[in-house]
Amino acid sequence: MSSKSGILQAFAITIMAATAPAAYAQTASIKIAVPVEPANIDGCNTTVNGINLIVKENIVETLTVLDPNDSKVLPRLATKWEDTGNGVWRVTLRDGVTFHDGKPLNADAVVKAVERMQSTGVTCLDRTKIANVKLTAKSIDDKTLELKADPAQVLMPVFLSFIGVVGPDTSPTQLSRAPVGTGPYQFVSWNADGVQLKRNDGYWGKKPEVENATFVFRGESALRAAMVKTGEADIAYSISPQDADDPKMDKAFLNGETTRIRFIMQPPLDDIRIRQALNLGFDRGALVGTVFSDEVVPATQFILPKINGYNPDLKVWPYDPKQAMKLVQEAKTAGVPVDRPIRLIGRTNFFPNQGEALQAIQQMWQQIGLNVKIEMMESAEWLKLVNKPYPAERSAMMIQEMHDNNNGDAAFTMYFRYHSKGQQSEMNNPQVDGLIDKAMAETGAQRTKDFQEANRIIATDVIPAVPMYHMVSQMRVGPRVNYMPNALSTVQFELSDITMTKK
Amino acid sequence: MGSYLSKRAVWSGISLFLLVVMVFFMARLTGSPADLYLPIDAPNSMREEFARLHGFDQPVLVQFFTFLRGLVMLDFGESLRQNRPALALVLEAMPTTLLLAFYSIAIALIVAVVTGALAAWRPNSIFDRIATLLSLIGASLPNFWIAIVGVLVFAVGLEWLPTSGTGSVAQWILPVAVLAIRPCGLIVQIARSSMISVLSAAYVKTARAKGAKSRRIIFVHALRNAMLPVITVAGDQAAGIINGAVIVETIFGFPGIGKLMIDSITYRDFAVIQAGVMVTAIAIFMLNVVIDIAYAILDPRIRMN
Amino acid sequence: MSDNKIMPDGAILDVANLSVEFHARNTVTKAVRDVSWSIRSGETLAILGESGSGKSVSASAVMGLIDSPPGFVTGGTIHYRSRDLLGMAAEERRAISGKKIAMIFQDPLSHLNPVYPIGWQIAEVMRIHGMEAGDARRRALDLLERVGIPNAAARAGSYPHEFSGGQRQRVMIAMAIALKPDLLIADEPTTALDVTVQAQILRLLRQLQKEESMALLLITHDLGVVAEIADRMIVMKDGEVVETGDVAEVYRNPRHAYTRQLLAAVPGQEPFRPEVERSEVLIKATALKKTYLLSSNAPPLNAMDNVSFELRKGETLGIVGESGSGKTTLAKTLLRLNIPDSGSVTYRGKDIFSLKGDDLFDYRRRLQVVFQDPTASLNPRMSIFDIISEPWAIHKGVKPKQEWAAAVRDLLTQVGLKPEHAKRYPHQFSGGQRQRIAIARALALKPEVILCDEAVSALDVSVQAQVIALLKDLQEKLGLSYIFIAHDLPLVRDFADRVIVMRKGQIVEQGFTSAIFTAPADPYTRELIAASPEPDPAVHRSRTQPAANMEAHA
Repeated sequence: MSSKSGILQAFAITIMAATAPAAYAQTASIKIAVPVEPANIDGCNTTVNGINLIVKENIVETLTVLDPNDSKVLPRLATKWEDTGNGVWRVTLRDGVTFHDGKPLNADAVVKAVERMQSTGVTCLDRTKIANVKLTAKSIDDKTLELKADPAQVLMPVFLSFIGVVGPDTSPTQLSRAPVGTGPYQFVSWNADGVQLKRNDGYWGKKPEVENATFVFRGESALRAAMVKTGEADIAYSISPQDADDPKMDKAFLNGETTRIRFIMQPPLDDIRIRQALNLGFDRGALVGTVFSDEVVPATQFILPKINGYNPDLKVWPYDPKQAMKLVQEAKTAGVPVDRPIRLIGRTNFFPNQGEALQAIQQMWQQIGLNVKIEMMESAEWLKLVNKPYPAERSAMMIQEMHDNNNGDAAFTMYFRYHSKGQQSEMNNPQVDGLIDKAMAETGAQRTKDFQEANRIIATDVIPAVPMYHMVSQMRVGPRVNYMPNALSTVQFELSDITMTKK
Repeated sequence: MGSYLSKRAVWSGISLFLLVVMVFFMARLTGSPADLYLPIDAPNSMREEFARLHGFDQPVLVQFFTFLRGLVMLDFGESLRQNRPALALVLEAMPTTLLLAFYSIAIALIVAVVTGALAAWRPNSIFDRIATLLSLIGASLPNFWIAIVGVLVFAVGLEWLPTSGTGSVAQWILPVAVLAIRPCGLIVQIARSSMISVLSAAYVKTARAKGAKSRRIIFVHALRNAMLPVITVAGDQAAGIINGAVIVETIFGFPGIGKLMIDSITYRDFAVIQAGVMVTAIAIFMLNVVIDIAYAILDPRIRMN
Repeated sequence: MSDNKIMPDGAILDVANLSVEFHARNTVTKAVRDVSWSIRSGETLAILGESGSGKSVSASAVMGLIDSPPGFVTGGTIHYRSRDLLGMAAEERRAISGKKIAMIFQDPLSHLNPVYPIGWQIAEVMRIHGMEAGDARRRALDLLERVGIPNAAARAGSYPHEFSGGQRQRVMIAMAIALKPDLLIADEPTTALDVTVQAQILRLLRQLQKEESMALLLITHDLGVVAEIADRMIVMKDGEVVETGDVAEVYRNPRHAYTRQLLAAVPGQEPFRPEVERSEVLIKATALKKTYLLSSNAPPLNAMDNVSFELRKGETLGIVGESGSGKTTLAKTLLRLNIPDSGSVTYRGKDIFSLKGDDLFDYRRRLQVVFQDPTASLNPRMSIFDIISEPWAIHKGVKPKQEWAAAVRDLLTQVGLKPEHAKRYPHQFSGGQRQRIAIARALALKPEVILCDEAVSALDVSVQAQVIALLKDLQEKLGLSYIFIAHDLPLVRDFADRVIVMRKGQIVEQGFTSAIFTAPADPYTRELIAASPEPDPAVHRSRTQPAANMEAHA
């Protein structure tokens, strides 16, 4: 090199270095305020609230993902999957993918991740999604592996969306606080200022706009909202309705949760007239837009319309207090102890304004002549009531519940809630049991039909609960960024979907 | 002094131990916390596995002896939530809370003592009435409300201060101010009434007879004698903050001991609860020693007994 | 206000037509009314009066210590060397306080700041008036020695609570004379002290006054003290000056009726009681011992050391001792509030410490008590009726309830109060009246013995005389026996039949009153008698100084 070009080079470098700070100021760095600091950010906990939004599809990717609108299974790290019979599926992996530590994505790595997820050395909570199933993985070649499910699983493609592929060097005995994955963002640090991620420039997919993302933890909703207002944060993840007072920045979206009030079938709730009356006497419309956001949708069943098995023919219970009172009277004349106090159990900190909601509902039920008393419990006590084995003495009570099914299929709800062997089920109905067992082994239209029929019987003949609403979350998005939350945003918050506004 | 401290240490050590034992058993009485850590649809096999992993399937007494063994080596076990040593979690959180407590009480004390002393000098004057009114308001307002209003006014409205976080000095201003308001209000009241009673003491008359100016009378003669009840109240308030300025820590995102304890209790994270109780109790013990020393410095009659 | 006044001959302080008022919620009290007096350089002027006379308020006005509100100087002038103190700016006045005019107070413990060493407090007055800290400290040590505190250098760093009452007053005196003031105001300087200590302090004041040619304004209620050291005196009553003059003259020829009343009320003027041997023994104390262990370092305190005596029916037994003598412990033991370490007390032959049940109740009825402080011994929330009838409520069966009202009326009349007073409350009565109520209460159960624990010590002189007269009267009428505990001898001189003198837990002498006073055997008894200021100026002129072995330990 001649000295002249050397000087030119040095000059160029100096210019670049001088302008670098200015350029840095324009890098796309965003801050997201979230409510709860997670206990860990391990890639085998991608289904856990608080961990999923940081990890899932940002740092650690799963083999498949679901479409937010119709729950269709889409490829992610796996490009092809086929059922080869006997519960075995052959899965083909994507080419040209590396982990953040430089190791390549191959079948061995996936096998290791699957084994880790199921091992008892670490408490991987993603395992609960494949609870009573044993998965064994075997490498066939560098990019192909076989996954065997025992018992055989019709929904294997959905199962693939629960398997977070963590780097092969991830500790098999400790949950990670510095995860290594294949995602568009890699972990930088976790300190008192929050969790820092930076863009993975070796990512196999489309390069996202956001370069640096920091998650900060603020328990108080009003504060998260204020941070976006002052510009200290760009997105306030989940704020309560009363703090969502800025129509320009606040976005409401169905979050996949459905609320209901479960009946414990003790007198007088064991009489179907009372259960009908409770549904008829609840003015669902009154709470929409007042206690709850006006985007909530009154529910007919415990799953959302996008879930396979949803019965679209079911109608929302009308508000008919006269009919309700009539039913109560009938039951009373027939000797049902309608005056007996019924406990309405609420769980603290379930969702915003739940206290007010419960009180409003209780008053509506007082008006139709039933003696309902509210009892608030904190999570540990509430959990004892809702899971089998149930406590021996349970008096007449109704328990507030919220359930989310973002996995595309009714199987993830129906068995646990309605099958006589289900862990949160109050029912013992052979017809429903039969339909559920049948549907779970089927595929295609028959599966859908059977689930729909089960739902119909449950909603009209059994009436095990008072369905409430498909719930809505609110997110505040500041002017620096663009982001539209979708139905999966509460369980999968993809930073790559965030773009910077053009100046 | 040495024997006094060692006697205190022995007695406090015994109380500490009994406290930790009590918390141990009380917490275990709530049963296995597996339900809190596993998703609701986790099968029973997972719950049993969780219980086994963490020793909750053993009889309580066996768990207790395991705990005692670990205690000797200051090993409180691992946090259920984070799989890290519980003591480490607590020791990470403690300095934040201690600093918050220190700054708030220090500021509250200085402001309140001066205000109370000046108010006592001219009781029922305009200054006194305003000071009393403000102190009563300060002592009655709930922390939570002050914090939120503070954020809305100073951070969102005026944009003078940041909303939250721990990094810079500016971020500490609001939380310390919020924490200082209630103690300040209470201490103004105590300082004022203590000063009023001291200012009517006979030795103040002597000082006046000696020709002392009012500043000397207030700050040299009266103040030291009035400080004893003030120190008691300040110490009590400091203990309260150490125990957990939960609300302030939650709102402003300060990873302190209050927030850690509330979360641990909600999640039945036994190891952290125990470690937290122990460390907090030790902090309070030290605080009491400091208060005792302050008493002795202030009043020679106490020193000599 | 007028400055440059011509001071009446030689006077350094001239008070002219001074009036001071105090405003309470609804009432205005005229504490000082149109009072005039002056004091010359080097002389000792005493202001004599009882409580409520306005004597302390006058002194406070001179020092500028009256808090307004609630007090207001409503008229008059106070000229110090031709300048009116009342018209001065605050700063000017402060320059005089402590430097030119100094003051010492009644209770030195409460008047010294407990948290600062005494050396510092003495040096402070000098520092306030401009002296360098180092110089002030050195001078403070000199002063401590001058006022008789031994080992001054070591003790300058000690705190007020580490000294005795007398030593504390010496410290206050040191503080007051530090800057060589022209005038020292002493407000009841010895009232809170033991008799022997009082004598020492008065001597010290006299000495200092002569050496520094300082004027001394002495405020007191004690005629003996006035006689001992004052040159001139004024007598105040209800805020007014009723008499002025040379001390000797006033004592010889009192002009005002009140002065005469005061002089007549001095205790111990009547003849001794006859020496009668009475037969019936009521209380017999034998070899009582009680020791207190204060702390691991200090030697044990002998509160009672081999105390033996008898009380016979119909007599008044006086027990005299200074602080620390054990008389209080003895009183508590007789009342069974204290259990002695060894020794016994019998009442009519029965050991009082083994009494139980009905017998114990009976003992309590027979031995009643009147305490020193009439304010503290009456429950402010109980009406007089409740207070006097309470013994019958406790000792059920003695008097049926229907008879209470009449009995209370009787008792009130007996003690010189009116029957309608039964509806009122203690705060509505004066100190002397409250003590009468306490006596009425003591009489309610028709006791045999009344223990008077310093029962008149907190009362004004004239009131004292009345209460003692009442006690004597009741003794005659009801055949009572008294144990009369006092801290100085003159009180018991004409009231007690026999006297016990106690010192440091031991009985140093006991016998008939006349014998004790006329021919005291024990040197301590002689010391006590000598130390009690005689209310006769002539006596003081002629009496020799007490023995020089009274050091400043006290």
